[in-house]
Amino acid sequence: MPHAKLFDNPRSSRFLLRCLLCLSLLPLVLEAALAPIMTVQVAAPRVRLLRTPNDKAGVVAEVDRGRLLDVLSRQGDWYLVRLSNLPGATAWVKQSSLAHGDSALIPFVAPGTAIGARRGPVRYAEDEIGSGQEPGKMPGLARPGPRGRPVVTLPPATGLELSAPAPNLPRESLPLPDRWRIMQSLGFKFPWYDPYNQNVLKGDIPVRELGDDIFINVGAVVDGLAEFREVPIPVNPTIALRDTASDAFGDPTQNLQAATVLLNLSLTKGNTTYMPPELELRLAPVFNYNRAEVREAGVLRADPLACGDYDQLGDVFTSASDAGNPVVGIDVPGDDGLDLLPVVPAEDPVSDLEPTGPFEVYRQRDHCTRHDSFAGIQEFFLDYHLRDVSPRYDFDSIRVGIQPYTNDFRGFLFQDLAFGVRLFGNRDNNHWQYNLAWFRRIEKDTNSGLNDITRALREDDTFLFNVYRQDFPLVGFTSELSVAHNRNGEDQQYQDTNDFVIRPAIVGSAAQDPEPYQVTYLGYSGDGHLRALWPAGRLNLTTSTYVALGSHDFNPIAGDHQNIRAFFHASELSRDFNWIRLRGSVLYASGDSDPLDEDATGFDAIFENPLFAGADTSYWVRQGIPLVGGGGIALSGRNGVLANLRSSKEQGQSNFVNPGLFLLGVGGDFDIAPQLRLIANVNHLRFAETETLEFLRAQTLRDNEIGFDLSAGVQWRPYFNQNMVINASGAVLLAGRGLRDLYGGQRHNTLYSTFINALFTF
Amino acid sequence: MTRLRLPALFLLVLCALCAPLAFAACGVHDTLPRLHAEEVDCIVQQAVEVSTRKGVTAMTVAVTDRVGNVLGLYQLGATPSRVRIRSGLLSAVRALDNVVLNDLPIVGDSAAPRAAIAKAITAAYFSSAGNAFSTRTAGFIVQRHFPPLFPNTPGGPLFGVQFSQLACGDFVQKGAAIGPGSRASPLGAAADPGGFPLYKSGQMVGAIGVVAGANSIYGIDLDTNPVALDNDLEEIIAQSATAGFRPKLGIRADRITAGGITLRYTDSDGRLLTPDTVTGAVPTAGVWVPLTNYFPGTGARTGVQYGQAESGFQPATGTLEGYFSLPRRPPRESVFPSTASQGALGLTQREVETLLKQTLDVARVTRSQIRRPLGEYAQVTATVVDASGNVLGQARTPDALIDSSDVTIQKARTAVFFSRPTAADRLTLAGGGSYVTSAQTFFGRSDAFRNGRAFSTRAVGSIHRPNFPDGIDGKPRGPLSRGADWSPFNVGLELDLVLRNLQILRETPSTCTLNSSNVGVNIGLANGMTIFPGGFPIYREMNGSLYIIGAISASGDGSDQSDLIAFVGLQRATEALAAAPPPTLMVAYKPPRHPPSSIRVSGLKYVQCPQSPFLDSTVQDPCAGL
Repeated sequence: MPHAKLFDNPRSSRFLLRCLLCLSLLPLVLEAALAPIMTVQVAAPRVRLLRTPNDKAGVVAEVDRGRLLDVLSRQGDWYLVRLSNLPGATAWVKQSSLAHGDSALIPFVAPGTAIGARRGPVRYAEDEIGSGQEPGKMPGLARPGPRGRPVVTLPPATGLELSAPAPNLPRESLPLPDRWRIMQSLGFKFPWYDPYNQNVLKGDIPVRELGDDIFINVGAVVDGLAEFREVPIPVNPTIALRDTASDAFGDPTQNLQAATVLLNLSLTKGNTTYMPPELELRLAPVFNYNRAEVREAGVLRADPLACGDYDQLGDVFTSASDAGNPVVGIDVPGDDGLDLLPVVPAEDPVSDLEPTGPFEVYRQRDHCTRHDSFAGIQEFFLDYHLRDVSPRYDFDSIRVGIQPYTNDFRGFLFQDLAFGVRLFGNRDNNHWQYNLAWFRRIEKDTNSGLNDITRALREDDTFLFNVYRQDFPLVGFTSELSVAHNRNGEDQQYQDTNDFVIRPAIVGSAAQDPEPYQVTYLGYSGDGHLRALWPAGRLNLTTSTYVALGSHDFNPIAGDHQNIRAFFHASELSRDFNWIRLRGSVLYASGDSDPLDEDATGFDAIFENPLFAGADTSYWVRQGIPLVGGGGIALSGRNGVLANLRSSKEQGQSNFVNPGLFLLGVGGDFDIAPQLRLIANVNHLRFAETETLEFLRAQTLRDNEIGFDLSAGVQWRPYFNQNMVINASGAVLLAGRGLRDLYGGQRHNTLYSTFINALFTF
Repeated sequence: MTRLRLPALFLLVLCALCAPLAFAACGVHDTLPRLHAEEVDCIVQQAVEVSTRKGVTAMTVAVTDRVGNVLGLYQLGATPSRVRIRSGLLSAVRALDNVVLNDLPIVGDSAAPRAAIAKAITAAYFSSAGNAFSTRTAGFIVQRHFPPLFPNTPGGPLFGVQFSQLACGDFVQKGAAIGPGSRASPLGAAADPGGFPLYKSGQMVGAIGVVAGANSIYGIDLDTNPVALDNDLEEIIAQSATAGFRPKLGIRADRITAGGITLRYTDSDGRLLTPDTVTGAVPTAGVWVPLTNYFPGTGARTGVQYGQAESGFQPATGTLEGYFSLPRRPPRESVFPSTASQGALGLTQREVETLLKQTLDVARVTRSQIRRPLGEYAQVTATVVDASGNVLGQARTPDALIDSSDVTIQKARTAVFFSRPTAADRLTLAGGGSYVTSAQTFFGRSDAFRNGRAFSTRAVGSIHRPNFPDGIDGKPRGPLSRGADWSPFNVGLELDLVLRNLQILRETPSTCTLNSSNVGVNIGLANGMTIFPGGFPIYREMNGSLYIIGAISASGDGSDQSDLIAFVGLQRATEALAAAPPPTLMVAYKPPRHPPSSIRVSGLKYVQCPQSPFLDSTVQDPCAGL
């Protein structure tokens, strides 16, 4: 194709379009003497092209139904058609009658049509009679399966069709200033709030005032969540909500409600349909309200008195009476007006005693609540299209700002909305993709988990490079190699918004301030079908493997410098059976078998958000379980699968001295109806090593077993689309022997987690 | 000089022969679980040599046995150290903070020896075969936050323990002669680095305490940051001197966690510790220091063997077989008194024995927080007192910390003292009137401490913290505590009750509490009070009324373990006694029992039992609903 090279520079595309037009006219000029007088289409299943207009003449070729043939001249029922682009390569075809009064050849373009107005190439019959081999395709890379030649069958002409306007007639069309608003100019009304038709707010039509290739897209997501769950929590050692609260563990019952409104505003420059846009600016502000209720004090906020009903008690009885030291009274509710029980020492006169009567139980308060709201920025970036590198629009782009990023297919290592600079693009017709990026994490709001841009960026940098290769090593399977270097240099003690110190984690020999660590992750991930390997199996595979190498200047649990040597692998094999997809999952995160030696061999990620083994329907992944009695850390974080003993997934630091995890799971997705999907999972979980837990809890564990995690969820999309999605799920964690040793007790042997989540998208 | 036996003389000769060669670290003299005089000599000599190498001219070292007998008190340099008590939190003199010990009456030049003994006794009393704690460990667990550098965390698990083992106490033994323990500490428990326990073959045999420098601070390390090592001189000398008598690494405090927090053992760079060598077997560079009531000054002595009658701690017979009891403690109180003074309400000997046995039986299945290896049971002391604070009985598991003998008495007395309606008046009598006023304001009631509310030591402790709620910075003080001027040497009521006595160091009174004329007033807290968990009042019903008849306490392991053991122990004793009432003429026997929750102080934590409390079951809520 001599034209192709000219496309290298996309900026001159308009100029090129004109050139293309000129070039395509060139053959017409050359063949002016042989200008077709009309076009016919083959309506018969197959017609023969003959050397002369004679039924007995030699057959030059045969053409199938649907072909268009340029007619150079006509002799009665015989048409002279162009055979190939060689001079004089013509053949004759005879018009004949078929059944039902149809003709073998249908005049398709009326005689007299201006050839110049016709788009498309000159037709040669021989092109259509090719070898059947697609040119330029290597045999091994052909798409699998039979592929028939396209056949266009037109209805027989009825004589009522309008013929094309004659070139010398006055124009019947009017020039339009805006090709995007043809329908509007014809009087169609598309209200601004209707996203299903052409809408300037949804990027369907450019914003005229800004330019003819500038689009804006306004989206909004309203997310409502109500969650009810049981999570082991500690009882405050000072304040008891219930007089009977005598043990380390409090009432595990909790509930949580949250409402989030996310606006998605983007401005795009460029033709979004045929080629990548030149520029995109996106802003996603978010507003969140959340409410949490637990049945113990000191859990939601560090101050146990900051607890619903208790809130005012801290301030009411302030008195300046005692040598300048303010004394605060706590009114013991229920104490007022209650006559004192006549408790007397035995040595006091017995006659002073009065009967005790029934022991009165104080009025009980049974819960603490916290209300919080937050406004943040989830995305704010500029995406600049640097260049196209091939006629297939392979490109290089750069994206600067707060942007979403996922390092692997399932978010095992790093999935965040961090601030960063990312150079990305693709090559070889999208067979290769790459990312080269630097991210600096944004402080998260504690209670909403959203980006808090009012605080300084965290001194936590991730440098990463990865390449994806499609159809490697198998057709239909994509492989990714990645290198990520996470460098944390935070050196200031930090309290979250609930006044808990969150960095460093208060555990082990925690230093006053966090100490730096640097980890390099080498990873391989893959995702796709295994049909090329085993067609009958029809299996899909997702897999990720990481090796983490690095050092931590002072790990709090180890109380020393640590060399990080950790390993992670996760795979999910799935197969579709009609409307059912069944999955099997395995995950191994290495653990640390000696927390006090110099090696940290427990795997931790940078910022995991795994879509794996049931993800947020599963108890273990969704809920963060505090390691009560083992320091200010959680056994596993919320929306995380690793048992990484962090203070907080969102705000804490990575910790490579941890028990690790071994997960085996089976699950299925059941598309019961187009609107309704049922998801079910059973996972069995074990710690890889328990020594770290034993050290922190000063306790031996009988077993590594965490237990069985059973979960089921439904997803309901009443309108068959994503505009309204209702998710509901429930999960139970049946504690195994290891977890029973840690939490035990009747209340913790079966922990549940349920939530309902409604998502409305505009 | 009988201690200079042949082997030592031989060693001296050998030393003279091969002077250029460095000797190895101190060797053990015998395999008995005690410190022999020659070993004391050698340990002191190691301290002297290290001091000399470090260029220290004034140094005092004390070596004690496990029960607190001072085996050696040795001073290097002609001028003893000047010792200032200083927390670093306050700039002015407040209670004991910023007081120069040498300026106190009767102290003078004995300041450094007293401080050194206090350090040694602290390290000895807080260590066992299962845990090796130094005075730094003690300092780490008595601060307003735990761990100390983290805001909004509760106080240390042994908050306030520094005012135990007081020489004014009625329980601790006094006198310079080697005898049974537990012995008095001249300054209570020390939080100042420089005291380390000594071990022989895994047996805890004694401890060393060091005061060094012309001007020494007897304080507490507030900056416990493990990545910025203190390299405290006294600590380096003391730790170097333990060569040959060090604990196994696995039982050191820095291998032990409490609530997931690793305790501290030393803050010295190991490379600064001098090589484990000694060039002489007998110290000659300084002098043995005599100190009234502690050490005659005539040279190193051999300590007692813990567990033998001479130590005061020995296996019990009878009901408490399998445990240790105190044979005779102190003379004016028998272990199992008659109930004559309290009539029919008083605890009987059988009840006291049952209480102690049931409590220790609980301990024997309780997961220890502080002992290694993992899987050991909690070793504790249990004490029962009557309503006036008289000790009715005390027993212990074999390897319980020595400190808990005095501390359990403090705990039991504190619980019964504050639970009686007489508390307010008696506090006022002993000079604590302003705290009563504070408490009345705090509770919003004029009858606070008069209304018979049941207080455990945890409940008392929770209003005796510099912030209420405990550890929440910026919150006002608890009513019994100091507030903005709080320091470990100016804690509030606990110290103020015994402060006058500490300031004059009167060591032979019958009680630590004095009135404004410095005359002892026995208000029922003869050895001082304490403010960390583990003590509970005991009640008895009679004729439909409820009487407070005493208290029970446990101590020696994690503070939650202490709570659990005493609390469940009392409950089990109640059940055991109810199941087998005494064959007496009582019509309806009512066993001693816990107060009903209705007379506990609602809103304050009465008891907190630890997670995964038992070794033999996965029960998590043993204390629920009791």
